[in-house]
Amino acid sequence: MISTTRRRIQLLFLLFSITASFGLITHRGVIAGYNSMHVFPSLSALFWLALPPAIWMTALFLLLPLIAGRLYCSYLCPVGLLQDLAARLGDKLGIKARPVAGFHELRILVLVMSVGFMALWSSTYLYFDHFSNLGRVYGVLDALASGGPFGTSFALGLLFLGTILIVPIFFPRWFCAALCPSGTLFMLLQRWSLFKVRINEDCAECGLCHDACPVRCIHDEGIDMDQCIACLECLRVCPSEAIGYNAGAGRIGRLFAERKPDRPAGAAASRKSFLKTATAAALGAAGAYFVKVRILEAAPSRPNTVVPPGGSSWDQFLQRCVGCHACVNVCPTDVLMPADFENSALGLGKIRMDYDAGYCSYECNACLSVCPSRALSYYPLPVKQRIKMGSSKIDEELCIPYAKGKDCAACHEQCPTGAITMKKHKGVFAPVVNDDYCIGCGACDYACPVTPDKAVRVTPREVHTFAFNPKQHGPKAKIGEQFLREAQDEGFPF
Amino acid sequence: MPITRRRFIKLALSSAAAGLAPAIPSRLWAAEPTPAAYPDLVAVRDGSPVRMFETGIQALGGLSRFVRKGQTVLVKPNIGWDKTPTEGANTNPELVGRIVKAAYEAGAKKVYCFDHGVNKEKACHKRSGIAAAVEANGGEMRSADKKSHYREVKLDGEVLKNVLVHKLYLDSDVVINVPILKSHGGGRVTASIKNLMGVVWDRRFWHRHGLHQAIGEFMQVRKPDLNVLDAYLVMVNNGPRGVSTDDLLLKKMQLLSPDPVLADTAGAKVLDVPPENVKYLGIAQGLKLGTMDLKGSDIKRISLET
Repeated sequence: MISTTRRRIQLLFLLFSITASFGLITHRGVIAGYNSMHVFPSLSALFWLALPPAIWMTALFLLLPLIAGRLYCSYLCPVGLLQDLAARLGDKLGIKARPVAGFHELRILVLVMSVGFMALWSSTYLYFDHFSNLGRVYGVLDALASGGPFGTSFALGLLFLGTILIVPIFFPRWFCAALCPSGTLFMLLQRWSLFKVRINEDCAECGLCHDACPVRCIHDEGIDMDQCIACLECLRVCPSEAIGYNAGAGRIGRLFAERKPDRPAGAAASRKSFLKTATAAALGAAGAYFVKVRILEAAPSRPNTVVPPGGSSWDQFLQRCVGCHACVNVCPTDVLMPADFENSALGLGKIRMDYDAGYCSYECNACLSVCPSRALSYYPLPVKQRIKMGSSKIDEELCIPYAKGKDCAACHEQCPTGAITMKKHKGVFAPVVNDDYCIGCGACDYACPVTPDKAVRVTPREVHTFAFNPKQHGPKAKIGEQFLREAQDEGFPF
Repeated sequence: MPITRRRFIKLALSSAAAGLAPAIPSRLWAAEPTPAAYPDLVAVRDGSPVRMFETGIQALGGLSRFVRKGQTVLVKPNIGWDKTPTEGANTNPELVGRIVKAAYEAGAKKVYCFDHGVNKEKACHKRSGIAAAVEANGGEMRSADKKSHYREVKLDGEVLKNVLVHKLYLDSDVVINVPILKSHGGGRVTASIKNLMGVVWDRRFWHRHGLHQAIGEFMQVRKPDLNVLDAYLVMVNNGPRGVSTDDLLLKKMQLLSPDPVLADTAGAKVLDVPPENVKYLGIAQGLKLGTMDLKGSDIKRISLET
């Protein structure tokens, strides 16, 4: 039996997570708060001396396991829910679920490596982090709904979805117990938790709690606190009120609770286990250093696509982006796309700007407001409107007014900053770009009707700068010097 | 326009109704004066967009001249840009709302509104204030961003052979075109005829194969029944999008005419662009879709003094 209350809360949070991820909730603060709940990409911003979009939310969810244990894992996490549902399917099929224990060293290694990546200014932990993976799972849904793109991000999302839907049929919540860096962090914090699940001397050893436990962490010897996700299912089923969830139980209860079933007792064993853990941690740190400094920094990297607004520079964007696709899901014009190999292997699974699919809307800074790792730093809209991501270039051999002598102005129509002006050219008007005002938003590139090669293309900038403000320096109105000057003439001009 | 099944049925039903006409009291018909009594173009100035419309449509014989009881009406404003009403890129929302209201007052069964704009539809509908104004007056906003909203029309044009046209533009009984007057880098002027680019699916095709020719010959599909050209806040520079409010001039005018070519010719004059430079106007006139002859037309000029 599964507690319907817990399942309802889980489903509700999944619903919230989907609505927040797909931009169905439009309140930026709510989306930012949702993203900031997830300590992994959010904490990485701190290493950049930046703050996640809603730091108080991050702090709250770090404090939670210190007070009440892994409530996030058991009651909220959608990745946990999907695994729970898969485990329930296994249960229905009569497959005997086995506990996932004994990965203690692996999860310490993954956690230390992930923190190491954050400290070394690299987002490579994105392959372990449940939030990034969940974002790519939502990306899979998005791609299926809108017919693509089916690239590497899709494959990564599908792979993750497969592992959390199939493996848990046999090993419930294996991802939480073996890999999830957030889960391991919460597990360590839970050791000092004020409230804990404890078994007291009233226990009649009926075994009901063992069967109810979704992670199978209750054994004859007691509760394996490293696996416990504080879901409190055991409390609900216990017929003799022998299990409590409280701040410090009696001496015997503490004895039961603290005993580790899978580790032999004794000082020598404890030293051995400490050494193993320390080795795993050292290996994790070394791994992070090796991957970041020896492999990633040595690899050549050059942007072939435009770095999104707020990304500041190609290198910085690449080091910070965790590929959670929060920005892709809120982008109203679909210009943000999951990246494949367009920007070398380093950009894999991260994002890119696709000016064939859309353009960066001048009136929007949605992606900047939701990015949890600050790969896209937040700027208010008037500042974002000045960020120069690239430069438009017109190919006069393809451009219709130059090449065919016909009026077109599709690009000029779209240009939000007045960087493209129309100049007389052999009886028609032809576009000219003034680079001082061009922000590289791609509105012209997207609108250009010339096929297959567009006549106007945006060249990406490796480091963003700011463009001139058209309101201050831009081409002035021909008539009228003042804001909204009234026409002075009388009568009609016809 | 082609005879569709829906139009055929409507035609058949209305013919049947005409057969019954003698049974209806004759005073219902007596109120209808001869069309020749109305001016070709009504130009109004120095009032709010709503007030200028109310005055102008009165001079044109009232909206009931164009909208009959029980008809479906399409109001087609410019909602192409993710911009606020004060930026002068979209049609004035209060004017659009008033026209929707007037259509219902004239007995319309249902009033629809859409535009296949340039920016994302949802954002445009909201920021332009037009969706709110239309819905407040009982009109219905329709979507135009999916190919399924369109139907192919065969046309014997120089550029346009097959055009995907929005079904509502083809099927509505009455089309009221409510453009905003702006300068345009390609067309020189955008007003009534250019506004109809918002009822087709593939606007890039027009740019690619001859913008003026396509704009000029498109009205062979169907001519709007009434054009209300909003020239209150006029983008005299950097149109059609505009860079800042420096590009705008408060002209406080409105041009109403059943002839879109005539309205646009007058509009070009308001923008200080010689109408003969606007090639699509000449093309439309050549196809007998309207006249550019301002001197030979009956123009009623109304100045609303405060």
